[in-house]
Amino acid sequence: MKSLALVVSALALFSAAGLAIAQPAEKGQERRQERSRQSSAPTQEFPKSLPVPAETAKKGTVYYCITAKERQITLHSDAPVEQIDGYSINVVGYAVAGPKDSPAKLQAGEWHLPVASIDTGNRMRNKHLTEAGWLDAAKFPNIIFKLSEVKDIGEAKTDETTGATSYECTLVGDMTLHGITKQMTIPGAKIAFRKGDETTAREAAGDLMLVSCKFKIKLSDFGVSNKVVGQKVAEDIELTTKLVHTTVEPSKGEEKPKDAAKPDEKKDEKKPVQSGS
Amino acid sequence: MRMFARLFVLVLVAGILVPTFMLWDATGRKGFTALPNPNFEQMQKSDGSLSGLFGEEAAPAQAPIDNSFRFGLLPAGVGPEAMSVAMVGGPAILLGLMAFCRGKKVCPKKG
Repeated sequence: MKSLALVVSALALFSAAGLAIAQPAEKGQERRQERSRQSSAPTQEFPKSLPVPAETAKKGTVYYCITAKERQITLHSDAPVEQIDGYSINVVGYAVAGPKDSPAKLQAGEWHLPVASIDTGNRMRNKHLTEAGWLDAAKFPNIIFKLSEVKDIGEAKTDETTGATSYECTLVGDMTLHGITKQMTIPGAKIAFRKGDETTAREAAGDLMLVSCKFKIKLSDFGVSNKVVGQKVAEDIELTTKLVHTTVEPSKGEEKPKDAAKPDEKKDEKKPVQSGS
Repeated sequence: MRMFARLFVLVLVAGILVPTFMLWDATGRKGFTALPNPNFEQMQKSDGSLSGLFGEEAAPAQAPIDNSFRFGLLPAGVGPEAMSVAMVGGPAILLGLMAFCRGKKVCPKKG
């Protein structure tokens, strides 16, 4: 009899827990959407552009990274316990195209990925990622890649359907993560150019450039090591990036550094890049 | 009567555990519960809108975003994400243990 009483009380407990978790249809849906938005890290505002230093802007045509439009980066962790994917649409940056005869030989480039913008689809995990034991977003808010050289540029390939011209190449630059900077060489990267036309104008104004690559980073190389790394989170994180840039400067309103190029000065330098198409 | 009650508890526990693990298995055997995320849905919709302008060859393929419901082994937070094998099956197992261990001597009496 006592066992039956135990069962009944346990069932009551289950029902109470169920009621607490479930919510009335409309309110529940609103709350769920709100909660999901919160779970997806970007509750805070992220920069819309990265100021281009005047000296850098003089080197050639500046392409500004188009942010908050489509998925720009995927971080993939394949650990024994589970696979985790994180995404961000908040990468900002710029690239300066090379000379007309070799536009893929970028003269400069810098991209910032706000750590807090990485969404793994799990609110707790997103929070942990920004904490001190992990990427420590309070101290090191951005993962930065500063391009120093583009080498091993392959032959231009023109896509017949889009008219875009792409080049396979190797990117060399400095990656700063968790406050530690390491030089990285990324083979198999692709840089593509497409002149602005009616089709592209529907998505973004100006001439476009795509920088895409796939590479791995070792967390311990950047001082990120704890007991979870290697078990729940892989030691090597694979990053896949697709960064689309435009020659049109993002909307104003961002604070610019003192040495940032004035729009008027840059107008003369903004010549369309030879896309080879 | 006691036998009947225990059998009832056993059926109840199995009735909770079996569907729980079946749901976990059917939704991908993931570690943590995941609910469809509106931001991921937005990303899925806009994926390739810009990079697609350069053609297929211009960029490495990104893994598709998994935005499906996953009933995980562990809760992923407070609220609906708390529903998981541990949260549903845990109390059931506890209930079973309590029902079966009641009245049994855990330690032999001294002397």
